[in-house]
Amino acid sequence: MPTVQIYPTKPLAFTVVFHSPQVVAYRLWYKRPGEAKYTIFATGTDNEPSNPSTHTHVVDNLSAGSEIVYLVWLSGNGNSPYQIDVELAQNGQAVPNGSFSLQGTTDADGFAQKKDTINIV
Amino acid sequence: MKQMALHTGATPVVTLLFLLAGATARAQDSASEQAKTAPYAMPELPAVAFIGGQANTIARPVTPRALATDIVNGVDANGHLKQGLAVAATPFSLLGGSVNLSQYQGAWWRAALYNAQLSAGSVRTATDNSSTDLGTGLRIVLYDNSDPMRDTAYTGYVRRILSRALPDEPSDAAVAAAFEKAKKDVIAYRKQWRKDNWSRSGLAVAAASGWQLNESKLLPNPDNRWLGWSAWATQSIRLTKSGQIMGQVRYTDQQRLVAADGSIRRSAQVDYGGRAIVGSAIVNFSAELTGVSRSNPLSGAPKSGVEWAAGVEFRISDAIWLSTSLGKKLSNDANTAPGIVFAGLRWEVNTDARIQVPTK
Repeated sequence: MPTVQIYPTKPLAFTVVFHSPQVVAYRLWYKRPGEAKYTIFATGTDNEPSNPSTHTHVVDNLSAGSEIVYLVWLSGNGNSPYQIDVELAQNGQAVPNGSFSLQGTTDADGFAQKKDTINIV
Repeated sequence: MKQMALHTGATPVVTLLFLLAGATARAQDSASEQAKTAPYAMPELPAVAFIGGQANTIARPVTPRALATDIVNGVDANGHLKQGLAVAATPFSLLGGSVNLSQYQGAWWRAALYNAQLSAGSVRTATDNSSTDLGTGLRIVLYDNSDPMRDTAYTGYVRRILSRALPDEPSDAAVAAAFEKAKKDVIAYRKQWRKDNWSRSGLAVAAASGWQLNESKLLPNPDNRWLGWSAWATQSIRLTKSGQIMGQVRYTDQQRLVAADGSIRRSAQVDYGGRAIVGSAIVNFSAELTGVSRSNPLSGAPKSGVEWAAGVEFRISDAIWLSTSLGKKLSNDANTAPGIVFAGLRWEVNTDARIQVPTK
């Protein structure tokens, strides 16, 4: 479970970059301290019209103790390698320890799932 | 024509009744016939196909570190290569290459680059328990129009299935249930897509080589020996939405050890085959011609031979296919006169289509 330190008053940009030929659908949630439920702040696929390989979503006012959850589903050919990069940034600068490369191979049916929680401190 | 036997035996109706009574007993016969009529396919792991074994485990590393780990794990503490292992890696992605889906669909060469696969495998040497045959191989699918990931209509529909199934909240239970449903829907759609697109054209090539490692030692050893090399090419051409012709040729240059005097004997062999198949939901037809030509065959092996088979099957209910096939084998064995040595006609009842269309 990765932990990143950010400036709570500045917007946080969450960027997803696709490097392999699978269909991807993903959803991003956040939960601020004291909140009971997660809130969806982005839903996307690998084929947004603006840029087919790089998608950026922004969320504001995440104080220490907040969580971001990402869920990524992939469907491609069986046993095919995949790579998706996740990058967090504020004011155009990469957040320290805020880059993750999701790598692996799809299963025999061509599916893979990646889900993790990022803790904000 | 020296020999010929036509096994019709009884009328089809009587034969059908007989076969219905003993369908279970003929399961093995069906399996062997299945193998004969199985579609030509490029070996998934040419390295393992060349050394003629079967890998117990297949590692698919996606990073250089994982590859290094798999290689280290393949060697025991005494430096002996473990047997029954295989590694398959796509060098393009292993080295950090990037091909997203739109690039994959837009240029055949990007797809070929992404799918190019290196493989290695180890099996126990057939004649020496302490030695290991090590194979290495390369497979390149130059183009494959039956690859659903190259079809924007297919990927667009799968994208809709996945994005609509995403759960509202990220609990493990909600995610698992939603993903299972999405996978089920994608698999059902893919099955239908393949049913409609199985006959599309494709071209793939592969090559492999191998070594026999004395005492299974990976380090250079004067007693290790090269086993030769092999190359494959497979082409499929779409005739219609429900018809396809396919051809495959394989060349093998083998370095065989002659047990009697310890000498190395070289033999070259060309295997070739062509197959036509036309299928629908209720009836399938297939015709197949295969042959082999050897430059320096081992004693007892014919110098060349040709075999053909043709079959038709009908779906008589949801769970029952009635099939029949006819085949001949022509041998040019130096010890026997050329001619037809087998011809047969048989009826079978199967629960699945015996003539399966190629799928990935």
